[in-house]
Amino acid sequence: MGRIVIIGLDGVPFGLMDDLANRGIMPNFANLREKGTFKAMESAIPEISSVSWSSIITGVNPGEHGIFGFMDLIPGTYTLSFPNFNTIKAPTFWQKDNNKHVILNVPSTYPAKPMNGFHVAGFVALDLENAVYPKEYIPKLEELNYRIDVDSEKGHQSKELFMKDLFRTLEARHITAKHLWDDMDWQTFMYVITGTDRIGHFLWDAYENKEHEFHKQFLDYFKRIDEMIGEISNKMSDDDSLIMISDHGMGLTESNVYVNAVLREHNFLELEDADRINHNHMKASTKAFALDPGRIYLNKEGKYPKGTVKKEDEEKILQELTNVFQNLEKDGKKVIKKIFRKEDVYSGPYLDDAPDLILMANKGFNLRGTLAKKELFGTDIFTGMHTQDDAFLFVKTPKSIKIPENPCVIDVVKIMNEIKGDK
Amino acid sequence: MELYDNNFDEEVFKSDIPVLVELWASWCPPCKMMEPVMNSLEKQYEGKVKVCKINIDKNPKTSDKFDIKGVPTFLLVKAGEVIERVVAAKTEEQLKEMINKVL
Amino acid sequence: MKPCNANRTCWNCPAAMLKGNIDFRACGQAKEKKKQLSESSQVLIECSRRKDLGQFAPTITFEQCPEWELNEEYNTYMLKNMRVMILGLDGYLGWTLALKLGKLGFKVSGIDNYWRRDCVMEKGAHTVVPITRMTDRLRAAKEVLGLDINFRKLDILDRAKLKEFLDEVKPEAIVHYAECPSAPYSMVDAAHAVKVQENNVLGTLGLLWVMKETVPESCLIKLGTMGEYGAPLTGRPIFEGIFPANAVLKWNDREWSLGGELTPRDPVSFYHVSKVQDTFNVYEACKYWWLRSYDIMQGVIYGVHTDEVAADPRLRTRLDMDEWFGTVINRFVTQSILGMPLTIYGEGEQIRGFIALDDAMQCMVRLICNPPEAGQYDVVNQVSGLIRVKDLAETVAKVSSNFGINTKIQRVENPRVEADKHPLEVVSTKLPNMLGFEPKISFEKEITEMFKVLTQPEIKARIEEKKHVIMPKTRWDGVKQESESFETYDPGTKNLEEGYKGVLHTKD
Repeated sequence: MGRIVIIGLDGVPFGLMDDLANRGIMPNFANLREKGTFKAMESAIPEISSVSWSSIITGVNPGEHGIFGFMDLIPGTYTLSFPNFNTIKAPTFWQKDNNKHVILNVPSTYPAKPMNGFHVAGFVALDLENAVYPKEYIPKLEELNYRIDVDSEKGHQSKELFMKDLFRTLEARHITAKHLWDDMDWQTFMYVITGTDRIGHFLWDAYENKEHEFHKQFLDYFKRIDEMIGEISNKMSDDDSLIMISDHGMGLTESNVYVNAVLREHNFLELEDADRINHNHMKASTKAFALDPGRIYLNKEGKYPKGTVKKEDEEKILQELTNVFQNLEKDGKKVIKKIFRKEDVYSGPYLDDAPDLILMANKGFNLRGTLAKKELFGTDIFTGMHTQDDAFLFVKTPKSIKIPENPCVIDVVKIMNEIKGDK
Repeated sequence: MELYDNNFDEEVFKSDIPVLVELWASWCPPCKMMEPVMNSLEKQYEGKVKVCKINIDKNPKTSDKFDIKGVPTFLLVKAGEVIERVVAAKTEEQLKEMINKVL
Repeated sequence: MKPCNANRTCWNCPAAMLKGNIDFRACGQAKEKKKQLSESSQVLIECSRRKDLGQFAPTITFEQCPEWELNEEYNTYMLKNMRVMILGLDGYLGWTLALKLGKLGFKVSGIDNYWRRDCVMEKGAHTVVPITRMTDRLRAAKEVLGLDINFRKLDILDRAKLKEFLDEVKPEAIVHYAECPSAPYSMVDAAHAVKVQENNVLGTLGLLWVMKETVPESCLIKLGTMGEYGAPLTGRPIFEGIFPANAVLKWNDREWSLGGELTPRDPVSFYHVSKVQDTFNVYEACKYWWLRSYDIMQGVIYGVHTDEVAADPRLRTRLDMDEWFGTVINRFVTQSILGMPLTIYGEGEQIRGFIALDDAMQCMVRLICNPPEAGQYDVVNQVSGLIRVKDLAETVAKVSSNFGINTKIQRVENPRVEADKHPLEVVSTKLPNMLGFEPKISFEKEITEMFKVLTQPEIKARIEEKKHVIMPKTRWDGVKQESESFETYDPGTKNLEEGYKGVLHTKD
């Protein structure tokens, strides 16, 4: 025995787990909480699922695994790409040893690759065909009505249908997890629930506002998750270890901040035709542009087809940009909490691919990288936004290990290794 | 003028002047052959009628909306309303007749 | 000048994995739910060469993509190590193209069943330019040009083995030369006609199914022929396979645009019929399965020379002189060397499009580097000049005099059923304007080169050996007899002013 179970809840903040445990909505977790270490955990920079999960499963920072966001521009072009499992440049923990692993629904691991055990990729996955290894499991997954992701379209159409879909997807995932639990002799079992991120984005206000029509359903969703946690925990033996994590937190959106609109206003970004949203329409005179959520890239000569920023001018422009964003306010409140240079937060062979500036916003301000908006601020149907400093970490293990005082997502692999007895 | 998913609504349905738009596909020989005719019409009606086209495979959001059953499909739009919708290659004369109805 | 394919994108590139990423449907069918990112509702693909990019919008241009490199000589971007498979690699054009592509850095593979060699032997003829066995050819290609050609002896009708080979190699372009190219051969008798159509039509049909299953993103570059169109007496222009939009059909005071419809075909032998049937099979496959194809309506091919085949005697490509497989200019040159008068059929008023060997190769390279978009069936008229047979004979005679040969011309009974005197107006704008083609070889230049090569003693001897296969004996009416000779005359003695002149449109 001495197996490791990891339960991931995408986008669930420390505060929510704590609150629901205290209020008796999640009694199983409340119980576990007493028996282990429960802390807030720092997410990746930026606090996006693709970056964070990649850091979690490799144990290294983006400068080493090469994933800096949900989307990136292919160097030498202005074409957007969506990095996937073929893009990631560092090995995952299950690729580093010979043990059997069951990896269920970790985001950004499509297409699935050969490994020892079982792997079904989480969002973004185009089809089941390439999301599963070994392929022999596909008929079984189809039989169990396994769904890779919630249909977000429903979230735009009807909250009612969306909630139904959330629960359906959750059930299918859990039944599949239980089947796999018994089906093979694994050492590590990693099981991620991603509906939590979806419900957070669409219905965070339903959590904070007790009068909201979906408040009860929001709590019911987490209640069901707690039941599942209980089931899993009961299937574990005393010498197994349980790690529970989230990849980032969630909070109420007060206002979206359209970073590219800010860049346009201050003439860092110039677009050919105001209505076309495509990085190919940036004029050569553009000095900087942004990608989701708050990543700023200088339009460097040699790096991009219409790049004109020379090396000697980079520092000056970075300082101008820093100045602009430090002073950005909405209704008297400062928008940006911190501004990082790439060297401040990343290290490794892929440092050159990293954004030149990374913005971290104050609470309530949701940074967006869309080119379509001309106004600086706005709102949309999403009421929840990612937060960087309050993901959560929970560890219950019979081994005596050291858990960092202020853990961050990169530490998860370290913790696993310590439990396994590796250094 | 080539349109895309992200500016189709703005250019066609919010236009002040009438719009003739061709929905085309690269695998459709009649569509490819219509190009010089559309370009000629664009010049002839400059300022009076907007003549443009959109590729349906590369712009799935737009082609979804119009339930395309055959290409090329021509839409004549005035003040946000679809006045006429025809399918198949047309002679320059036939398209001009169509346009003149809304001038 | 900007390379002609600089702005082509992933939509054209064979490495773009569209299948499974794009919702393909033919006109008129209901749409299926697309598989795509819910965030962006955008078309996204993966690249089979650059898997590390993940999913991305297919908007990278050839200029931007590191997989496409600029070739200065052609001023065209070429896909690095592009895998090209030549069906019919042993043939007159197949072997020549293999060497040309190999030299440019393409990864060449191919098949052949040696049927051409057998057919020519059946005639009792042989290639006047000696060629070696395939194993020796391949070895010479390696020694002299440093090429590794992946050749397999295979019949195109053997679909199972063809599929195996395609699966192994995963070609990114397929050049289809594996057809019997001879009109007279298809007119010999029922057995021959059936054999030609079986190989040509059913071979292509099988190939299309195999392509769909193994390499649907690959471009099929298929040799058709100008002879598919025929030569309408009305003189209406021969467009590039498809009517332009300003072509209008008028009837009873009503009008319709013919834009995009296939132009009429009027084939002139059972072999030409097979090419027309191929056209329809390919066109349909592109419609059903999103294959992409260039149908090459090639003019009459002639010539001996490319730098690669001339590099070593073992690398020479074949040249046929017999009435089945010799094309007219090749035959005229051999006739002249034999001291025979040049045989023109009827009045010799037939106008044909022609293209010299190296020019044809240049066109093929350009086509390979400029794939159409998925689902697109495109046609090019591959000719570099139009000339009347009568005028052609005069030109050959004139060049022959530079070699001390006094050539006469004889008019013989036309064994074919075809319009003797007809106008010919050909549109050939895609190759020069879209693909950057510039013909480099005039009639005089190549014919001179041919005389140089064919008057060499060894080759001249080979010509003399087979002089009995020169005169046309295969008649379209089925009667087996040699064409009657009407008159023999000296070059320069006929009125060349009268009659139709071919008109070639090359400007857009």
